[in-house]
Amino acid sequence: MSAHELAELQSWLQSAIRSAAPPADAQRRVRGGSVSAEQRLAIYARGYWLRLLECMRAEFPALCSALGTELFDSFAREYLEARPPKSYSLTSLGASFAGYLEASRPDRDAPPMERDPSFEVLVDLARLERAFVEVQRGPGVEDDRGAGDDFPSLTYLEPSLVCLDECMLRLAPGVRLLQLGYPLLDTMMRARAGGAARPFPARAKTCLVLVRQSYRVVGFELSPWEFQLFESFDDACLGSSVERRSRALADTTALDPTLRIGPRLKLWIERGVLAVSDALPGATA
Amino acid sequence: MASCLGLPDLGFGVGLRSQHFEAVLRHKPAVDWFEVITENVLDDGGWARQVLDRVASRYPIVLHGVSLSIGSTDPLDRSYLARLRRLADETRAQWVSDHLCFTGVGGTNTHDLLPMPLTEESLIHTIARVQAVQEQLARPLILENPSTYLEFASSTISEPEFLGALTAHTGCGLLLDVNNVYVSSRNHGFDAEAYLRAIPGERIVQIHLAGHCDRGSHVIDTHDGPVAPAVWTLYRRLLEQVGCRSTLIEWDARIPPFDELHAQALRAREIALGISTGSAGSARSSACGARGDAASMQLEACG
Ligand SMILES: [Fe+2]
Repeated sequence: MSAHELAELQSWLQSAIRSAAPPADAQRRVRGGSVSAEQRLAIYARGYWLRLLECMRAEFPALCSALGTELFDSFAREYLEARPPKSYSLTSLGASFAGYLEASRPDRDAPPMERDPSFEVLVDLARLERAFVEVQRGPGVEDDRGAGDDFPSLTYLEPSLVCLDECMLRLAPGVRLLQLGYPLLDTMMRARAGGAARPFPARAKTCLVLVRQSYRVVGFELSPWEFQLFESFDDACLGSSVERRSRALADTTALDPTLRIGPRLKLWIERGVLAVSDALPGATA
Repeated sequence: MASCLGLPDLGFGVGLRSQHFEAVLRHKPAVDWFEVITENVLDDGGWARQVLDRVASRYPIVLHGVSLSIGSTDPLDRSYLARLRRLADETRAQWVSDHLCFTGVGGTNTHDLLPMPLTEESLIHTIARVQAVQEQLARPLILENPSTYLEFASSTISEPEFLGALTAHTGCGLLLDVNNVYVSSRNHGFDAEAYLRAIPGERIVQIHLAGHCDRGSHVIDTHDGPVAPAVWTLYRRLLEQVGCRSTLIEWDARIPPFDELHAQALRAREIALGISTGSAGSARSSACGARGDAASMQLEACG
């Protein structure tokens, strides 16, 4: 057996396991006995699909609960057939599921107004559930390791005592921002807590932030100006500059002109969405 | 006393699973050591990694991987190895293990432990890769015999022979999964005790025990129940043959309360104690089951 033959045999076994029917040459390559070569391949094939589908159900419990296991599995299986797992980590398994659902929707070429809204809500839910997993496993600010050496956090400070004029703010590591067509946060959280599926909420554009607090993922709805503000953070900024930018954004998008920006920013510090540190020397507004 | 490859006999441990995180952190059970599935924590920046750090500060831990794909014809995943080395250093892992198998080819990862054709060529191929892995990890690799459901018609070498040659050429250690020996023996019709006799006992660093599911015509390695009587018998035979080795209970599905899992490790200890006290004058008597304290001393000499 040459190196080429070894590679060919491994490819053969892998495709035999991933395909629906056993290959014609199974008996030539695999020893039989009381259990046939085809049955032996079928044991691996069953294990392969069971394992991956179980992981997909665990990653998307709300979607699975909404669709029912059978329909969810058929979507997940199509996805895994089209995009076989590449990573060593099963956490990556569902990374492009939402994108796949979006790209494979039957009405993808129709004008937006003619598209089936029930598909859109499924794609949104898949995006939200994936973001949840990424926040859960991603970096956090529970200890100094997650915050980064370049940004020594002032987590010991009461957020109310933070002086925005004298500190630097940035989006905390691991935070995820989402814009969805449906307010699905409760739907997802209920499903993850084991609650029964309920009808989807009515369509309403929603901005969300997911963040980890003491290793638990929590989500908050954002005003459009807050979403724009957080999305525009690409580095640490002086608190006073963030405050000015917030004011300008809030003026153009917020309904409430009396909104007090400072306390609002401090709320996001308290919730772990914004990380705060001392103003760095040479920092500019 | 020196042990296999200079690695300690850790006593009797269990696999650390998320269902038991709270019980382990809260009650700090008197378990000798924990084994952690590498991939469950390798890229985790959340609770799983935090728990591992806390557990590692109290107990010896071992990293047990499922994605090394040592037998694959795909290139080694160097970035995976770099992360693994960092994790092993950070958690002061006692050793790092994986399986004699391939998990995928052509860039795919099936997340299954697929059997290798056992031939001269695949042995040469695997030897070179084990050497490369050990070099990058800067520590010996401990390889486990997988449970298998098929054998290739082209195989020319038995599994114990293959593992023996692999350890002889690379200096790697063996993780002998006694349940896997039993499962494969039933699926392929070989004599499990003869398999144990053919394995180079002096290279066994660790032993796995687990439950399986007997389907009559074949046996599936499900890790979803207690260790079967036939596997306990084989375990006893193995200890009689090679002396005590770090022993670990794997239980991955239908996971019971922690105490039930721990009871399996305590049963393994009882068997080991029985053997050591039964063999009067044996140098092993001081080793087997002597790990009442978790402070790890090196106990059992190999061979
Ligand atoms: Fe095992």
